[in-house]
Amino acid sequence: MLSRLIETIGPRPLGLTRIVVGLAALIRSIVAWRVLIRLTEPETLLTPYVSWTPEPSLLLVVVIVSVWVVAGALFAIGWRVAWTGPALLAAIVATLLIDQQGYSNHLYLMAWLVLLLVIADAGAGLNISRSDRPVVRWGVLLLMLQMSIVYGFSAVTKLNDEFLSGEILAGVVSGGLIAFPEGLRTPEFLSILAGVVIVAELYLALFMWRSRYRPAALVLGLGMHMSITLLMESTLELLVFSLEMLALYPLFLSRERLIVVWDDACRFCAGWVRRFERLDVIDVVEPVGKSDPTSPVPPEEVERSMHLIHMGKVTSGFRAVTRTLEHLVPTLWLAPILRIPGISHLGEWWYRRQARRRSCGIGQPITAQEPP
Amino acid sequence: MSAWRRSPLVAVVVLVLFLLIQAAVPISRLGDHERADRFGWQMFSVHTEAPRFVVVTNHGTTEISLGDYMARVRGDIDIVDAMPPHLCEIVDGAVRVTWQTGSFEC
Repeated sequence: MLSRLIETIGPRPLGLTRIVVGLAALIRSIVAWRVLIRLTEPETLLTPYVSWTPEPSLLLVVVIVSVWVVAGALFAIGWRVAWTGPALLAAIVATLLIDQQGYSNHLYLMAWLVLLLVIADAGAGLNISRSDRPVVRWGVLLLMLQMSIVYGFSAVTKLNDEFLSGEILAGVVSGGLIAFPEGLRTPEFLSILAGVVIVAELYLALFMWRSRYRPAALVLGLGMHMSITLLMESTLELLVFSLEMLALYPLFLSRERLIVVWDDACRFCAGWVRRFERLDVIDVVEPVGKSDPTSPVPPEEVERSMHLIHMGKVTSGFRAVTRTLEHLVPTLWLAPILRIPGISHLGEWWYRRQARRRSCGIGQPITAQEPP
Repeated sequence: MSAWRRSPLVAVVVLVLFLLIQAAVPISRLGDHERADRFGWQMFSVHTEAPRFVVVTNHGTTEISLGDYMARVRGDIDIVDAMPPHLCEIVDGAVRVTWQTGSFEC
């Protein structure tokens, strides 16, 4: 157990999380400026946590937001994260503590995320110097736990009569980029929707950890965050919250290598493998050509269909394509859709058709082995 | 990679500390749900009605918009004590501030 905590893992998912959180911080700096500048106006009531907090002034606001923007941009690109992260964190904490009106749940979350990203050495992957180095597992684990804690408490605190009645949703699903259908604004529907929200949050908190249930969790999370961002007011702030939470999803993806065994005598197959590699932001795909002596699948089987070996499990054909897409960040939302009965049958039919056409000469054989 | 990150002791201490804080703080904020509380991940869990302030001047009464006097109107901030004296100071000719449950003489 202890050795698992300190074992090293690939840094790219963590780097991706850092980039998205950094971008969210840059977007959030706009809101921070608006709020802080209002606090400097004489009409605004000040509500400091403690009496000795410095009173907001224009100079102070300019300093906080400038540090925020510069450190946020450098943090996002992965430049000296051990310094730019704490600088960004300082700007966020100053905004949170200068006055009670500076508080937002998503800003408080951002402070935690930046702190945990610094602890986890998030500058190790996908950085401006293009030099990856491994990170330890426990640092990443902290961020994954943070996601479950946020969803978990959010669900538990919604277990009250007011929320379950749909009253809260009736008040908040308005003023967004997309209008909530008026026909659905009934107490019955909103009450059901309230229950669905709680179940969805609990599902995300618990089942993102289980590989079997993760694909559904990914789609559920994406759908939920798109809905709240588009249907509710304060679009910018909800966008920031959604980015923060979605940024944590890649950390749950399997780090086990995806061994894609493919027919390296065929251009059509090479095209697919190339696509997989392009989508492989977190570096998990390992293509193995059928002519490779280490190929774990007999060549005649690979000629029939592509094979995927992942965590000891072998899949082939369209199922192998779906499972591969499930582990690639840009397509992880798509893979569960491809598993839906009907769509999966259509996919199997399409795959078999393509495979037949390939052997009939549409996929031209490669004369010498090319790297995909 | 820094040596401290490879230390099992550091890993365990940070994990335990993190879980303690992350459990203790939100649990301590769980209340009677009359008002959403900060630092507890209670997003949109309850609705808090903001107080409605009316400023009485020699010329009449005006219900004020909280957005004009706050950088951000949040249900989790208790402004009942602080807002009336602030309005007395800011609004010209204010003699009294009233709200649903009380009043304040300027």
